[in-house]
Parts: sequence; structure tokens; C-alpha cells
Amino acid sequence: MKPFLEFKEVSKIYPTGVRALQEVNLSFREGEFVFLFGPTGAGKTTLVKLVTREERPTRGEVWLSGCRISHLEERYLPFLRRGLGVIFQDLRLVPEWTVLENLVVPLEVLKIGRSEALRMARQMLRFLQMEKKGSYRVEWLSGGEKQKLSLGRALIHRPKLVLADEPTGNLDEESAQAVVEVLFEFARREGATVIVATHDQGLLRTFPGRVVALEKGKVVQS
Amino acid sequence: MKFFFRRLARKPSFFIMGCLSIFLTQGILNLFIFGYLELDRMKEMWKGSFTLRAFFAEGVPEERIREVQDKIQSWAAVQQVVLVDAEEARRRFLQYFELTEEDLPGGVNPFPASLEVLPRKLEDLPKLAAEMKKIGVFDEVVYGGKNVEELLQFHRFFVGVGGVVVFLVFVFVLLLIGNMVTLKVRFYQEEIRVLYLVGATFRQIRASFLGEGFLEGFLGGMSAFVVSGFFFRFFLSFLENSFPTFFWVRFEDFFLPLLLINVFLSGVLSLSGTLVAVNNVLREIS
Repeated sequence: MKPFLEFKEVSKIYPTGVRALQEVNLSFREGEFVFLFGPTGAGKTTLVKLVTREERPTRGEVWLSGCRISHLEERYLPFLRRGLGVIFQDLRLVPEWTVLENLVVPLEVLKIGRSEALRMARQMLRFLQMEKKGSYRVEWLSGGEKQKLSLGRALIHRPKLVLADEPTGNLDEESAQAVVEVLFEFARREGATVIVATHDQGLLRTFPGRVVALEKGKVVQS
Repeated sequence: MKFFFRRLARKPSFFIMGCLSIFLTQGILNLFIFGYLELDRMKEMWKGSFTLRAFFAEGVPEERIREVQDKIQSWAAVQQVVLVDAEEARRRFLQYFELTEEDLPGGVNPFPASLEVLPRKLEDLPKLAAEMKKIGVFDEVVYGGKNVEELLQFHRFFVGVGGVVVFLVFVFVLLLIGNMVTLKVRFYQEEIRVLYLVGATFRQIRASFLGEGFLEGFLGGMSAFVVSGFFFRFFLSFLENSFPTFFWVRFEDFFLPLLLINVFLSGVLSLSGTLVAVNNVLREIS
């Protein structure tokens, strides 16, 4: 069976000279739930950014669903990103917008009708247990709520691949478990591939899933 | 457009400031449009008053006179050439001094034939006079002399200074509108980044800002046109009544240039400013 996402001999050296990834070979199957585990600076975020194409590999190739995305032309990037659900490390929410407005952005980009988008957003708010906070501005939310909102935005358009970069970074243990529970449930229900980059060993013990360990830019367990 | 309305609801002050900056700069520009049209009108007046007159020397045959008239008429700088023959000159003389045929001794016509030459541009008068003298059939070529040269000097000065001021105003307009738009777009940089990361195309991102830019330009330009229109309507009517003998530009001549420049220029400036600013941000984030 052909891998859904594949890294072939991927190296990434930043202009500062930092070697973030060194000849990484990795493949992920469709519907897989994966923890990308490693300490800070191991290359987890770089790996995620190579998939979202915020970064390009210095050497090697990244393939997604039969498409060599590492060499994709700039003009096709939006179409790649529409198929992804990404929880960014710094969340990347628009603070001046309301919760609902932030949530429906991927649907608006996909040009889904307003009423349908609102229906899906309300459903997601219920799922996140934030139904009363739809009209709140993001800047009024707590850290955990922002994290949940970011999660909701990543999942609302039902992507086939979800990338979560330290989604539990600012959360207490209970909230962290709840966030990963949502991702786990999403992968199970939608058959999506979910990759969670984390340095939290506790999560690895709680949830079943493949563990890919990175250290100093190299894969040490796959 | 939904992103535009979202921004408008969140920060209407940006939109108002954009409209106002266009309104004010267009208002200033309108004063210069008025100045230019008025100058043009005055120039027309001078042109009629200071026609170049060339008196033929005695004994130049009629065919030669016609030949010279045709030659001068063919010059690019010449708008019109009128031949005043000896009979017409005599008739004009009598009429001017309210004399009769009996007052002049019969049989003799002391008035030479002449050409009245109207130039296309006032500035060409001295050059035309010099060229005509070179033909060698004229006794005298006159065009108001010192008065015209002084007026031309004043006109050149006014156009020169006006040109510099208009240029400076234009640069001011460009900078003001450009910076306003850039500031606004920069303020929304994070929003643009998020849209880009969730899969919005450059076209989608640009569209919301361009719509906003167009609306700002249109509203600012239209309001400048309406307010200036009312102002000049009353101002020109006041001038017309107060100094009726002077050559004031007519409001009807003023109306169309004002409308076109206000709406077109503000629209173009606002749209192109927005496009440049959004493209800069997109280039940075991509």
C-alpha cells in the first residue's frame, strides 16, 4: 500500500546554519494516528512546516497523496493547504475576530455557503463545548479556549491530514488529554491521518498510536 | 467582500480616514483644476486681443499676397490667417473714425493690404513674427510688442510655478493615500497571514482589500466632486456677478473635468495603492 505522506531523504538547514533535519525518511499511512515525539529543537516543527510548505527542504522530497509537495509551485500552495488541518504552535488566530469568525475561515476560503458554514461552526462549537462563546472576541478567551478554537478551525472542514504542533503546550494535564482525545476521536471517526508533535511523554502513555521519535533532526524511533 | 465588511465593522475609523484623505486631497486638487481652466480661459482672451498683423510693402502683386497667405496658413503654429485687402482696410479706417468717403481724397488708397494671423499658442507669437519678417514682403509686422511679451512672461511664470505646485500636490496626494493604505494593510497583516495559511489564494486575499480600496476611492472622490461642485457653482456665480467683464471659466466647462478627475483619479490611486500594499505583504509572508 502506497504511503499517504512520505519524507524521502529530507534535510533542512536554515540560513542561520542550524541543521533542523538530517536525511529523514518517514512514511505515514492513511488514517494513522501518530505522535511525533522529541525534545525542543528535535525538528518536529520543521517537519510540520515542510508539509504545510511554510518551509522547503534543503535536500530530499516530501510527497503527499502522490503529489511531490516539496516542489509544488507557489500558486498551488493554497490548494494544498485547503486539504490540511493545522494547529499551529502559536495558534495563529485573529485576535480581533470573534470565535465564530475564526472558526469559519477555512469554510469561507472553500466558498461554502454562509448558512452551511454557520451550521458546521455551531456543530463544532458544541463539540468543543464552547457553544456560548461564539460571539466572544478571541482576545477575551483563556489559553485553553484559544487552543480549543485552533483545534476547531483545523478540523471544521474535515481534512484528510491533521497536523498539530504542540497542541497541548500551554495546557494543564486534563485539558491536554481532552485536546488529544478530540484529535484521536476525529482520526477514528473521519479516517484522517493525524500527526501530533509533542514533547509530553504522558500523552504517549495515555493514547494508543504510532510514535515517531526525533532527536537532533534525526529519526531515532519510527 | 465579507472580510471587508468584517474589517469595516471592527475598525470603521480606517475606512473613514481613507475616504477623508481622498476627499481632502481631491479637494485641493480641484482648486488647481479651477486655476488651470481659468488660466486657459484667460489665454484664449489674450489670443484674440493680440493678433499678429503684417502689412505688405507697397507694390506687392495680389497673386504674391495670396501665395504668402497660403504659405503662412500652412505653418503648424498658425491657427488662422485673414487677409485684409486695401479696400477693407480703408473701410475699417473710415468706420473707426466715423468718416465718409468724401473725407478722403478720391482715387487714392493709402492703406496697405495686411494679414491678421492668429497663432495656435500664444508663446509662438514672437517666433511667428520673426519668421514672417524673413519672407521679405512685409513693411511691418506687429503683435502688441512689449505688452504681449510681458503677459507671456507672466503666463510662463504662472504655468511654471503652477506646474511645480501641481506636481508637489500630486506627490503629496500619492504619499498620503499610499501611506494611508499601507498602514491599513499592515494593520491587517496577521489576518492576511492566517488567510494564506488556511488556503486562501492571493486573488481571494487581494479581492477583499481591492473592494475596500475601490469603495474608499469612489466615495472619497464622489464626495470631493459633490462638495467642490457646490462650492464652485456658487463661487463662480458670485465672481460673474461681481466682476462681469472678466473672463471667468463657465461652470458647465468645469463640471465634466471635475467629475472625471475626481472619480477616476481617486479610484486609480486608491486601487493601485491597495494593490501595491497587499502585494508587498503577500510577498513577505509567502
